[in-house]
Amino acid sequence: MTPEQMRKTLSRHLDGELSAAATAEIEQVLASSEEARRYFDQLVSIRAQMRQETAGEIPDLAPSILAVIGAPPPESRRPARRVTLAAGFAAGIVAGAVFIGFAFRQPLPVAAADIPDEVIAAQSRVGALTARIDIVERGWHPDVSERIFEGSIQYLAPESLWIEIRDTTSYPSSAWIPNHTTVVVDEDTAWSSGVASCPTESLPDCMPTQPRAMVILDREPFPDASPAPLDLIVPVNGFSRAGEPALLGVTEVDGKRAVGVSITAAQVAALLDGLTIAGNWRDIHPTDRVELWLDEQHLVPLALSVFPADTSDRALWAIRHGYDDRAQVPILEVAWSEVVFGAEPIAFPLPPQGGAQGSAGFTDASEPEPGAPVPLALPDGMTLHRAGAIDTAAGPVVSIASWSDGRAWVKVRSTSSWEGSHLFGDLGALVREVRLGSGVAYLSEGGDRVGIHGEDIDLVVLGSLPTDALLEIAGSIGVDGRPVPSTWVEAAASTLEDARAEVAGLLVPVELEGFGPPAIRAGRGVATMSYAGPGDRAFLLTQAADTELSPPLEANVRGVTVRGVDGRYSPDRGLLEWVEGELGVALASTTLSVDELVSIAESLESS
Amino acid sequence: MYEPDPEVIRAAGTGDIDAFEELVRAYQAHVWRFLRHLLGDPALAEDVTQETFVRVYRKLDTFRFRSKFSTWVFQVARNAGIDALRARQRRDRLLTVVEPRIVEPMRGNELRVELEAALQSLNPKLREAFVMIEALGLTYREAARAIGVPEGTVKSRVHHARERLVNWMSEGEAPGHDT
Repeated sequence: MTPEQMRKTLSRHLDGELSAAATAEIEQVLASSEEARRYFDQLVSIRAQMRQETAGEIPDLAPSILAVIGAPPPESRRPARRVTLAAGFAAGIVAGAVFIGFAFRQPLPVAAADIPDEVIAAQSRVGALTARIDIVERGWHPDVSERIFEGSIQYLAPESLWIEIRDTTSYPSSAWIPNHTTVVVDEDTAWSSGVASCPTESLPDCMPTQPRAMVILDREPFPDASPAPLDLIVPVNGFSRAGEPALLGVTEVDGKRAVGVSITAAQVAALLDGLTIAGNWRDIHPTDRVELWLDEQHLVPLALSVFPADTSDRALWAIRHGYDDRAQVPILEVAWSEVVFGAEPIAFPLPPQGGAQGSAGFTDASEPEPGAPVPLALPDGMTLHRAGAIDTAAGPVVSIASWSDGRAWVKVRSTSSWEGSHLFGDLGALVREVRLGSGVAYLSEGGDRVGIHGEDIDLVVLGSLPTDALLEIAGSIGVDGRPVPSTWVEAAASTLEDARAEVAGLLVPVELEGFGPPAIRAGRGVATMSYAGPGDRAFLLTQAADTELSPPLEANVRGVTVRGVDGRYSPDRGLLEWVEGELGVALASTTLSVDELVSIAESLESS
Repeated sequence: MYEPDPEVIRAAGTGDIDAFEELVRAYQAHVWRFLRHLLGDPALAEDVTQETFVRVYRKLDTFRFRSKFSTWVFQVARNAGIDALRARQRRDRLLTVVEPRIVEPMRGNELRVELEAALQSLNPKLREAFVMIEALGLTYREAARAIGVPEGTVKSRVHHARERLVNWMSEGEAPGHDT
């Protein structure tokens, strides 16, 4: 053993990474070699010093951090809200667009450009559905190359759903616990059950022997925190704001005509998340290619295959996750079969006893609260779904009313006691200010929320409808929106003209398909433009006067030619940067590939 | 490393300040220690710790529970730390080398002070990997995810960092900046 090998082995020994045989061998070396002993003792000493901290050294930064984010002092806060939320209810809010009242038309011949609108229009046509579901997952663990699942989906509009998945995989031993999962959303109750995930490298020893059940009671309609995975029924979220998808063709799936499109995993993140709400599943990269086949008439999914993206960044990601993925082999295949529309689902199962259980604090009423804002104009076919209020010590009293038509829905949340320093309704920091009647309103980045700050009321209108429809509904409520106070974060919302005035030679994307108008913030010589697309697809364009890039520190930064100049790309941060003329430009996205970012960069033109 | 209840994370993501404070109190010491070692400047580490949690607060709704929350927080801390290093580099007009800094004396024994000085002389890439493993006790997998490099790279960096530190402590030689 050379000295270098010895030091490396001792380093691994310190980390407990050696096999039993190698440990015995290095112990012998330690017993016989003073040099080895001295080196190892120093490693141990350094570790001890690094982990020895005097408690008094560590500052308490919580008060200053909370002050910066605008939190009120502790004494003025209400008791903490502790709502139990189902683990893995990770699907984002259902966003989107629909042409309400859109007459059904036969989509023949299939035009790729029409598919997003067809999907969105279809949501009001699906009232109930039952289907069998079969899943093949590959690469979850090196010792279990393929897992097989079968189950069922039962849906009743607008948001009652039961997904039952049984794991039929033949595992190497009984130490591996089958990944059976159950997800139920039934009006005011949602619950899930499945084996909790644990680190791949520790499988199967880390697997809990019992599934974990999480139950939410008193759930408001269409909540942000525990949304029903409605994209499993009609993938509205995946096609809102979508450009023209690549068409795979038309074929027959389980006796139904199906149209296929090729998109990315980020675009159908809500659908994929819906399958993996509970249980232990492998990760999927946002740039992975998805072949999705939709029922030509109802636009519900019939088949889906996820293929690893064939890029070096994705390959690196796989290595980090311990996946041995092959470019042409799907890592996930899902098939919906025996699909029956209009069939009434059987009674939804009750939550199991003994699971974690919590109340979301919503109380149903037969109609909207007296005095609560109600839109005077709703799309044809929309009827009152659920209404009521949340009145807990955890926050302001919030009145809620929702309307639905099939899977399509809209909701108005309002309060007259909002004390936050930002818009009520979780619109996010980057918003667009728009005129609404004689006042103003604010649109979230994705255009799926309309916030209004009234004189004595704050409200938000949200739903699976298009932005124009949401604005029309918000405008019919009759609340005169006022500009937010100058101390609120949304007060920095800017226009494209503001950005042009702030940054000389500002670049903007031209003929950008598949993304909505940007939310913009401009000030202090920097312009930031946020673009949201379907699903999780989004990017941030930041520009400021600059003459050179600062030195990179990330490990994997590489050179990229952008718009004829030398730029660089950091896959860790999804950040493409370059300088042209005296303008520094950065394009950032965690869901778009570097090739897509370069394409967007090439489309930029000076405005 | 402590992992918070998903309920607390989700509540914080919906604007529950008490839940967010719970997360801050759970991780502020770890984040500050990491940044103090990475930046070599306790005061700057305080500022960047604050910046880290402001970023965490703003991005909480994007956390998808696909990784450990602690790993995600350290990713945010690392990015904030790198931004701070960049700003300092630009300010100091250093192109490729971070000069050894005069480290504020720490309470504790001489060895710790020497070790801290040696640590600051390491290349930042070696330093961040070493601190994550040795000071924070992260697994190599967790550190790899936080830094965004393969596990093998983290192991290699930690090994080289150890080698340089031992060499420096044995012979009083500067660890050097090469990777």
